[in-house]
Amino acid sequence: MATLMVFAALAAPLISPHDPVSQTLVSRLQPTALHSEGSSEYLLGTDQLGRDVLSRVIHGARVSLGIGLFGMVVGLIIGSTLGILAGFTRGFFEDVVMFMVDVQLALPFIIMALAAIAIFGPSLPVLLVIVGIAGWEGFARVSRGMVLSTTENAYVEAARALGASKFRIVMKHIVPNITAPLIVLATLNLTSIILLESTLSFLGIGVQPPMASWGRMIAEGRDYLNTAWWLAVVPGAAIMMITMSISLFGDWLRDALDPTLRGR
Amino acid sequence: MLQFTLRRFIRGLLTLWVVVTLVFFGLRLSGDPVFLMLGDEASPEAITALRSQLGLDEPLPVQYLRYFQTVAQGDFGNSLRERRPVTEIVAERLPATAELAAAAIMISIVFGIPMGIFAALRRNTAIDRGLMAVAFFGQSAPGFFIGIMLILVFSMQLQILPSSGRGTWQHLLMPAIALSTYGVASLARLTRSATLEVLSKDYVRTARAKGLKESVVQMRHVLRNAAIPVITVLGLQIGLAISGSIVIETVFAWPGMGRLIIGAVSNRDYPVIQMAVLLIAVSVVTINFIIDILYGVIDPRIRYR
Repeated sequence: MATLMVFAALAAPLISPHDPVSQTLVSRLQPTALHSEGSSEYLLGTDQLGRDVLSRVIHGARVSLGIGLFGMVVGLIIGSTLGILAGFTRGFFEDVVMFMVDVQLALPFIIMALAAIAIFGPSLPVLLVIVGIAGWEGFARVSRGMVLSTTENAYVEAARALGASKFRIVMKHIVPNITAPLIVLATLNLTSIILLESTLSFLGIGVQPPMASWGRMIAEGRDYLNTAWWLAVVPGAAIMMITMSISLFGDWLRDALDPTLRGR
Repeated sequence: MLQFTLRRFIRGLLTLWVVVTLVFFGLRLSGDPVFLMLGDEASPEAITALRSQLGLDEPLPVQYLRYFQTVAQGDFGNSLRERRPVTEIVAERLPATAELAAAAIMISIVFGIPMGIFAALRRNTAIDRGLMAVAFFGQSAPGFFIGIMLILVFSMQLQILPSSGRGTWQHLLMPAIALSTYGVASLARLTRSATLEVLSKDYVRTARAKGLKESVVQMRHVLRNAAIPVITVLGLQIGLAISGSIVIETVFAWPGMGRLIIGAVSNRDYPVIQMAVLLIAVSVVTINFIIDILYGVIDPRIRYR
């Protein structure tokens, strides 16, 4: 399922049957092809402006996954760099980083996101900064903890005794040993960023029109629940499928990388 | 214990200090806060008056200290849209959000914890797998989508529950369920793994070996110890319920803080956002502080870490 979504996101312009933003007002609110009044031209029906729902869902995959991956990578880089440095240097720097981690953990992130949007206005760059900051604290906490336990190992001590530089110890002996848990955490982080993006877009302050976003599609479809339920249900199902498949992938990865956790 | 409490208290205060500082600099980063507070159509006289009232003609460090003073006094100014004190507007909206969040947390506890215990005690059976599949589903679905599905089924098709507003328990039911789905799911999964962890401990084997009844082993040895990680996560759940209510209130037109905040973000009603952010920060930090103290009482080892 995840592969299918990634494929849809990558090949969106090639596989989507229609332009996701072009409006055909004469074919507004057409039901899905399963319905007796539906047509095979619009497999998942059309919305209130006559746009093809299937094409919009396919392009929405691109937006959701793109923003999700961007946020995940930025969070991973910022968080793990700070976490590794904190665990390795200790002292004041570590205290400051861990305090910032605590602050971010203590506050619901969406509140800070809403405050930022109120100040800077809703736009794609603001959204990208928000998703980049979301979740760095998880990476920082895990990587610091892993560094602290890894530096206790004999091989790190041996490298130090052999005169290896700090940079070499971090890159050659510590980073390879903490990669696995960080990858697992990254998959979890990806689902929460996708949910954050869809929530902000649902509220009308995330991805801005005419860009297709699943959250926004649900918000628009909400007004037509009585007459055109598919407008809200189809993108909602897409969000659930993508988060479920990424979570399953993350669970599988965790079990594969750490067999002691299996079944927990 | 006193030292532990004091340490946690100072940590909470420091967190709030960071939030207030972020709001202060955020306000100034965005340009002239006076324009944000008065809107674009303000007269030059009003701008000058507010600028000197807020002390914006003074040096930044003085402004910073003065800002703390006004915040501590609870003076958040007037809403740009409604032209009356923000504190008054927030006071009207707060009970609705508290009601919704409390109902959602109750549902999370009442359903999530027993689901997890039940699944763990019947590990690898169809019941376990079924319950965990439900939990997995609940964790993957966005709350606002669950809300819309509930409206579609119970308000539009079956027409047995109202789709919006506040007043009776029927109004509360769907928003509370939508808000609690994630909480039920994550509490169920966490309780299950915490219970499984304890079940594999030596003291449980000892308790069984000395011939204690299974119910005694479960109540006295397993559940008590499994409660520790669950309580910590409960603190997080409360924070999640408060932040989740923002979007759920929008779905169900629930007249609480969430809708107030979203309206304020769209209108850039800065005084309202400022108070809402600080109020939510204070409540979440206070709840986390209480949970930390409880945690220290239940598990004395924590105090010495």
